[in-house]
Amino acid sequence: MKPLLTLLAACGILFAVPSLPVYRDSLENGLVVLTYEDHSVPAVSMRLVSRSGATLDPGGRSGTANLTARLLLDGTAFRSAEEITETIEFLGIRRNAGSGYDFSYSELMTLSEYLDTALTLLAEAARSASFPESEFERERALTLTRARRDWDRPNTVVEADFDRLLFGDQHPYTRDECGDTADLPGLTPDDVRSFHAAHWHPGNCFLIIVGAVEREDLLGRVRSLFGDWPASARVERPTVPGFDFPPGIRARAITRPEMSQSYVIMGHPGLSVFDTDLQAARLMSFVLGGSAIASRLGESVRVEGGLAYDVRCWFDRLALPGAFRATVQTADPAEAIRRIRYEIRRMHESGPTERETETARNYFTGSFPLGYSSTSGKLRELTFAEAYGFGPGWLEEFPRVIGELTREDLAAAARTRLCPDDMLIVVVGPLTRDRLGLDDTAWLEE
Amino acid sequence: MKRAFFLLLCSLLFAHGASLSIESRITDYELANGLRVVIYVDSSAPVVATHVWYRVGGYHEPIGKTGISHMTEHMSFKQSPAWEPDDFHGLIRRHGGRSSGFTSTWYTGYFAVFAADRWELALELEAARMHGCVFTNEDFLPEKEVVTEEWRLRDNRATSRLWTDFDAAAFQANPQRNPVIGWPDDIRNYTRSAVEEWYRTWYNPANAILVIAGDVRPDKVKPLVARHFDRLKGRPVPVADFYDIEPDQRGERRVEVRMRTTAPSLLVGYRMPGRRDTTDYHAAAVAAAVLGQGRLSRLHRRLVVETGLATSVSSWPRAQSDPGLLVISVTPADAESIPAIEQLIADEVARLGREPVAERELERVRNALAADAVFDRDDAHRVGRLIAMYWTTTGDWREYDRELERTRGIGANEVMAFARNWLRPEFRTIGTLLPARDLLPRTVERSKDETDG
Repeated sequence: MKPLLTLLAACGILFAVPSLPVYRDSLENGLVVLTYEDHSVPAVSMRLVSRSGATLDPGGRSGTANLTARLLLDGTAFRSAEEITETIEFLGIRRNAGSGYDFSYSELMTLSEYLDTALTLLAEAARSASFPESEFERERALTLTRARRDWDRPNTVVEADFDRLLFGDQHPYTRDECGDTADLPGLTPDDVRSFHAAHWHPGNCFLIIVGAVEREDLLGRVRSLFGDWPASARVERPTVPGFDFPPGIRARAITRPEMSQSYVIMGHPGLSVFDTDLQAARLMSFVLGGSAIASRLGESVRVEGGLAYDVRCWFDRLALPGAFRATVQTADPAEAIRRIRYEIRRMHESGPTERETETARNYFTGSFPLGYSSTSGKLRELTFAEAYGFGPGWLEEFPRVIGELTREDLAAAARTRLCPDDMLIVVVGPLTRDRLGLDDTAWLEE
Repeated sequence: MKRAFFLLLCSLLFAHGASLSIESRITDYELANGLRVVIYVDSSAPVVATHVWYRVGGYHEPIGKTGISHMTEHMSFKQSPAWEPDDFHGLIRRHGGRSSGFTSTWYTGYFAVFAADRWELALELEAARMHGCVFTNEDFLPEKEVVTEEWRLRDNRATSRLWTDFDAAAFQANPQRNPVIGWPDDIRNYTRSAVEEWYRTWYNPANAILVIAGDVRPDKVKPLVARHFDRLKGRPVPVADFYDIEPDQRGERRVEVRMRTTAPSLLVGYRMPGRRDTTDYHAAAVAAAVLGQGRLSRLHRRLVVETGLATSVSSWPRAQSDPGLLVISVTPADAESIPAIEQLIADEVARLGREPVAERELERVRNALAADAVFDRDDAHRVGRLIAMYWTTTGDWREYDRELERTRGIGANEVMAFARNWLRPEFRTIGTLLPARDLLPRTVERSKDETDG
């Protein structure tokens, strides 16, 4: 990648994006290696990503992708879990792992002097993780407890209900990325071993290295550890049947008399990360409800109404089409829902103003580099760019794409992507449906 | 390969010492009005974080006014001569920046992060916040409702409620017993004039630190700081010092919270010294790490690996200034396991006072501290936050460097002495979160009409 300076004139403000030391290489076996050289501190972070996430969990076995990633470094053909933990903790290395719907990952953050040690551990884990029974039981118990604790939170209750009603029982988005409480107890070490064999191989993985490294030197080390990992083909994304979303306003009220406020989620089908109007829709939803204060929903519900601490809306950004969602937590859900519906309709009909469009453009282009100034931010953005095929130039490409969006683009996204007359509303709180003032609604039983 | 690993581990010696210090990148001075200014240079990314933190929080609030610092933080975004009403965040966003405010027991902090070519806006806005906030009833009344809704958010979270009740049981006199957001009746009774008076008392240069961290040159920054802050007048602020106020604890305390939950929680807090008791304070950090930080920690091995009584455990020192608590937080496998967990924790804590910690365990802790210090510096914004936090809680940001070295210098005998002095059953508070027996409707809250006057 040649150094270049992208200058973007965005409504009078110049956003300078200097060329970044980001490189994308491929080993002969198909493993993609993304390197972000950053010598500011003597540390290196490495994240191995499988392009398979929770959407590829087998039926009735949600949590498999997540457990596979979380257990990758807990025992290999060469080392026991105990030995690996001993090495990691004694050298002050940090570990992290998890899964989203579209990918799963295992990462290490180390001082530069232990780069080889950490890279060796990660390579051994990727190639020969053994998933011992005792480690599996420990991690599953931890994941199950966390999943149960999630259900103590009212937002989990409304979100899960909303997803099930929107996508239907069979859709992957109805299942928790980390595993459902109903499925986790039935998982076995063989489930994660099978998932590992099918989804963690060079054709389906990419490796991101961020920190104090030189690309050429690093590639030599990576090649020696990963180069003879047998080649393989990428796993196809699943095709999921579409789902019906009936017209009109449908709602469900879940009564919880012990609560002191209601949690509301409302929305309808959204878009996919691959849709061409993704960025226009993002900026439009940012104007509508990207912040609990500086947005139309924030102005109306929080600043003027004093109805809630937090109110916002967004489009899911995932491979399969997701949802558009607005959420609020309030003691007066009827008034909050009324205001949110009003603002969604107003945006749908008229779109944002020029000034709102300019603010959104400036915010997205100006704050984007702030998001990847830290190592964790670099890992996050490079994972997103590679997993969805935007490429390593995305960090520099993004401001240009945003800068070209016009008010008309955002208004078009509002017209096509917001559906004020077709909405699903789920509320949990100390109320009954008659308190919600939804006269035009088809009620769904609890 | 295995042998190489073993040799590496055996021969490992951390020689970071001075290289862990942030001091070489810092320019530090004070304006005539008392404002402490710290400039931290990190040019690895064209980004600048600006922090302004005030020494005011829950610790400084009298009975009846708990949470007023937090309410003041909310109001400080409303109006000033530097931005249109309710447009603070809009202005920041139009310039491509990010910003926020937060309140804790010890401080109220604000930050803005911008690209390096436009960060001066942060100085203009924070100078205006420091002296020019305007408080109107039109802003105040709905914002009080917003804070009430924020309180309800916490009230509906079982673990938040456990922490609130746990702190209120562990502390009797020290203001750490109060929730930072305030008790609900105090929130109802705030008046606009009381909040404005709070602001006039605590928000001034003599009670604040300004940290500029990122891609800057100190010689360019100083005139900008002078332009925005020199004209502000500093005033002395009341001294809040409750370091020794907490009565002796004469026995174990227990608190139980029952809410809608399927996953019980257990908190065990032992009294620990504050910063003025230097050696024991730093020994507490090492003791907490030995007990419950990482999978090699003693409690993880006993509770999670060997017995399966718990699914996770962690331990950390919770005393930023005054004496506080060494907290052990456990997620039990089930409610029935709690008595056995408590016993195992008591056994391990007693062992800490009986036997010296092995040198290898201490080395693990020291290495993790050293590595974390390097990782911290990966982000100038995070370093700026640490500088501001150490200044507001200790009076000197250099404590960040000193604390690291002192903690890494703690030996086995000091950990044992700390454990004997402080980790005693009668100095313990235990909190449990368990499923509710009955889910009763809430006590009716007062209506808005009653609270607005």
